Parts: sequence; structure tokens; C-alpha cells
Amino acid sequence: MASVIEVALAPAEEQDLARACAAGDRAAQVRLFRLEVQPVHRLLHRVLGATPALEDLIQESFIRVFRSLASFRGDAHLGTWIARIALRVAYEHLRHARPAAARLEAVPDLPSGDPDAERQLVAREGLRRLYRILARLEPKQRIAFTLCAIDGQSQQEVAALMSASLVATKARIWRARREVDRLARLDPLLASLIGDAPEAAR
Amino acid sequence: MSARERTPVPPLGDAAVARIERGIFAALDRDAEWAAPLVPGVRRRLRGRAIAVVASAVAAAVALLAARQLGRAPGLPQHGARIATATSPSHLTVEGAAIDVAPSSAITFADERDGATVIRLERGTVTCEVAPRGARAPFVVEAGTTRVTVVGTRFGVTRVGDHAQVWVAHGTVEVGDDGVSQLVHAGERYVPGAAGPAGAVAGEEAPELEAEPAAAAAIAVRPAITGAMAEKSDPLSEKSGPLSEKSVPLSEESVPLSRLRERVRERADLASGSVRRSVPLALALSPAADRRGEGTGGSENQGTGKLPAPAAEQPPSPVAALSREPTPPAITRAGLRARFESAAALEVRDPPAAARIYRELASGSGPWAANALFAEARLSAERGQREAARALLSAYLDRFPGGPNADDARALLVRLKGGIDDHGALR
Repeated sequence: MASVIEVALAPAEEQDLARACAAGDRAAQVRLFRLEVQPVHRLLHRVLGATPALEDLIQESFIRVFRSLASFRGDAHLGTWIARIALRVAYEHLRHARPAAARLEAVPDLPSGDPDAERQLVAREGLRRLYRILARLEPKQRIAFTLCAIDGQSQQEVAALMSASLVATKARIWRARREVDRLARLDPLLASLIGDAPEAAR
Repeated sequence: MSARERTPVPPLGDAAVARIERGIFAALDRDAEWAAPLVPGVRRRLRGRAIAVVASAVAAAVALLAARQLGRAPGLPQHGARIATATSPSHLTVEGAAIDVAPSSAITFADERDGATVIRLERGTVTCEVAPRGARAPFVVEAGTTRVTVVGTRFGVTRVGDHAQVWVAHGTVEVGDDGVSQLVHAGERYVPGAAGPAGAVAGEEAPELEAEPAAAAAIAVRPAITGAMAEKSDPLSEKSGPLSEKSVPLSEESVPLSRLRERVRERADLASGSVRRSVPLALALSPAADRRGEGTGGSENQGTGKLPAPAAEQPPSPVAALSREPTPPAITRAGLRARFESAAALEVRDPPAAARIYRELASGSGPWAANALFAEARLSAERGQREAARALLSAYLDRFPGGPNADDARALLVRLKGGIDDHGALR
């Protein structure tokens, strides 16, 4: 299979593509899948970490997308609409099966201007431990926090993606941040990364 | 980690993408109507699976009922759905029609108040295999101002500016243009602007579909049945609707296009050989049928001979009059109802005028033709014209044996004949 190249579509093209997919046009469905599979993968990866269920969840997301495309009205970008569906799938996954902590080998390399390999290793281990903490959060708090802190979305964008009010979203992010902060301070490595010594060491 | 700074994620590998893609489309294939439960891996994780399955089944049943109420099958593309192709063709199945959209083409789906499925050809070429419509709502193809109503037949449309040329290989289609519609039968060609705004119908031999120039924007609609079977799907021969459906061993939704084409050819071969076409009485007597006979071989279009020649009878048989009066151009569908109602209003004040309008409507096709034919028969009976009424009722039962007034027609015929029913229903 050829490598997937992500190309942004104009709104009118998005509408045409969505309609063709909704009409059962297989070529259009394949095109949409190939356009959106990497963004969906990135989103789910950031929210859930490197879980073995990631491929299943991507597949489930797209099946729901294709089943629901007839209801796509074009109020939002197609990519945003698909992201909402993927997040709903992620939420159900978190609710029904608490994921294990991210595997070390699955944590990606972090880009760093610092060529120091040891520092990069520490960053990877820190990220792995962070996902272990995230696994202890309530699913909605976790999704809101990861979208904001790891996926880099604004609070407004997170609210829109989660179909929640801004106030509720802020509260979720704040509670998640507080819990992550509390748990991170108990971990020597994470505590050193955020600049504080662990409470146990005080 | 600061906000706005996204953690990099390694891209999903090609093998994983291919795996997911296969999984998705396998699930969608199993779930052709997009209503089946989820894929097994996810289904396993869902709680209350049994409840969900029952709920889905109930929802599907409700959706099916609702869709039937609306005269359209589930899976019909949403109103306004548009398919545009670039360099590669696209294929889909809609409402028993297999549709190929050629490269550089665009079609839009629409549905109308009466539930008709409408495909609008914006540009390029679309090829369809249309199964007989039976009791379902019409299937319509529009190209510019030209509107072609499909009843399960084979024809082609070539877009010419805002209009289109239409040729018919088998069966009959109704072509509307600039507010005027007319029937085009097998072997005829409709040419826009050739004679008046509605164009003219010429009795020339229809070309083979494959012989049409590919560059022209052509719609080709082929039936799942042709030849003798296509005759039975003619709108003027509604009695054959259920028969033809029963006779065609096709699963309209699942047979691939290539297989449909093979069957079309097989049926065409059969039809050109030993199978004799049967034409209903009114059609055989109509000028349109005469024209068709010229185009496809008149020997095929003989009447059934059930009615005696009415020329010597007084008053003259309205059925016989059908063969002498030229068929006026049909009115648009919206106008048919108004025309019928105007005749109903005239019944008391001017019965002959009402009968003339009914006769004119009855020479067409569709539900208003059925209504008009029965109304004319009833009016004749009320005016004491028993012979004419009997002839009209027999013609009605020949053409519309399952029509809305079929039972009334049989009962009235029995009364007029003193208890004898040629059609056997009330014996």
C-alpha cells in the first residue's frame, strides 16, 4: 500500500466527499479513510497512550464515521467531526476497559534540540509514567486533560470536541491537572521533571 | 509540558493502515445497510449486548417500515447527496439500480414528494442497471431540462446543452421537457426542439448502448430484464408487474453489474428468438403503439383481440376512439391531477366533454391513466352506455388488473353483464 499523504480539503470538497461516502461510494470511503487515518491515530495515541487496542479503536472510529456520515451537515470541518467520533470511541474504551500503562517501547522519541541521549531517555520514561498516572483519572477528565496538555488544543477547542460547556471543560482540566500534579509529586522522576522533589523525599 | 505544543506521535505504519482499512471495509461489506451491530472486537467490549441487538432489530424494523411508507428503500442516499468523479469511475447500488458513474462525471440524488428517486446528471456519463420498479416509486434520471422516468427498461440519454436526446431500446420511458411530457417507446428516439418545445419522437431504431460515443454525456439505463420481460414492465401493462418480478431470479441489491449485464444479454437473446411479446389492448390500439410497431417490427404489437371491433356500435366505443384520435402530448404530472379533476367537475354539466378528457388521460400511463379509464367506464355506465362501459372496464382490467379500482371494475362488469365476469374474479 502506498504511504498515506495528508492533504487538507476545501470545505466544498469535504462536503462532496462526505456525500459520496454516505451514498456508499467505496472509492470515496477509501479516500476519506486515508486522509484521516493518521490524524485519528495521533489523537487516540495522545489521549490513550500506546495501547495495544489502538488499531481496534481506529477501526471502530472509522466504522462509526461511515455509518454516521449521512448525518454530517458540514457545520464543522469533517476532520473535527471525525475527531469527535474518535474521542467518543476513546471514552467508551476508557470507561469499559481500564487500559494498562503505556508500554515503554511504545513511547515515542521526543524531539529535542539537546543531543544528550540520557536526557531523551529520561523524557521517554517520564512520559510513560505520566500515562500510568493518566490511567488513574476519570475518563472525561483524562480526555480533556490530554487534549489540552498533550494534544495542544485550547480549552475552547477541547470543549467543542467533547461537546461540553467551556465551564465543565475547564473544571475537568483543572481537576485532572491537580490530580496529575499530586501523583507526579509522588514520583521522583516526574517530580524532578516538574521541578519539585517528591513529597516522600521531603 | 506546555499547551499548544503537541507531543509527536510516530505515524501509523503502512501495514497497520492496510490492516485497519481491510477491517473497516470488511465490516461495512457485512453491514451493507449500515445498520448491523459493530465489529466483533468492539462488540465484545460492549455491555448489554443482547439489549443492543434487540434495540437495533427494532430500530431497523421501524426504519424499514418508515422507508416503505415513504416509498423508498433503506440505504437510499440522502437528498442532495452528490457523487463527483475525477479520473476514476465510481460504482454504487441504489434502490435496485446498479449505477456506474464514469470519470469526470457528477450526479446528485434527490427525492420528490411522491417518493421518486431522482438522479440529476450534472456532467459526464452515468450507466445504470435498473430492475423493474413494480409497485415502488419511479426512478427518474434528469439531464438539464429533460426528465426520463424509468420503469425498468433500457434507454440512453445524451446531454445536449440544457436538453437531452433520448433513445429507447426496450420498454417505454416518459420524457418530460419544458413542461411537456411524452412517452417514448422501444425503437424510438426523442430529439429536443425537433418539433416544438417538447421535441419530437422519431421511430428510428435505437442504437446499441455500446455504440454511443463515449465522449457524449450519456445516461444508459438498462433493465434487469429485457425483451418480452421488458414489455411486461411497461407502464401500460401493469398486470405484468408482479409476474415479471417473480420471473426474474435476480437479487436486485446484490447481483454485480457484470452479471446483470450478462443476464440482460441472455434475456435479450431469448426475447429476440422464441418469446412472443404480448401487448395490452389499449396499447395495441393506440397510435403510440403503431409508431412502436414501425420501429421494432409491427407483427409483435398485435392486440389481444379480446374486444370486438366497435366501429359499428352506437354509441361508438371509446376504446375504439383511442385508436383513431391522435394522442395529444401528455401533461406534466402536476397537471394530470388538475386535468382529472376538471373532468370530474364536468361530469354533470357536460358528460361528453368529461369523457373526452378521461379518454385523453387514459391514453397515457401511470395512476392517472388508470383513474381516468375507470372514471370513463363508470361515466359510460351511468349514462346508460352499457356496451361502451363494458369495453372500457375490460380494457381497465387488462391494463390495470391490480389497479386501485380493479375490484370496483369487476363488480361493475358483473352487474353490466348480468353476473358473468370474463375475468373470473367474482364467479
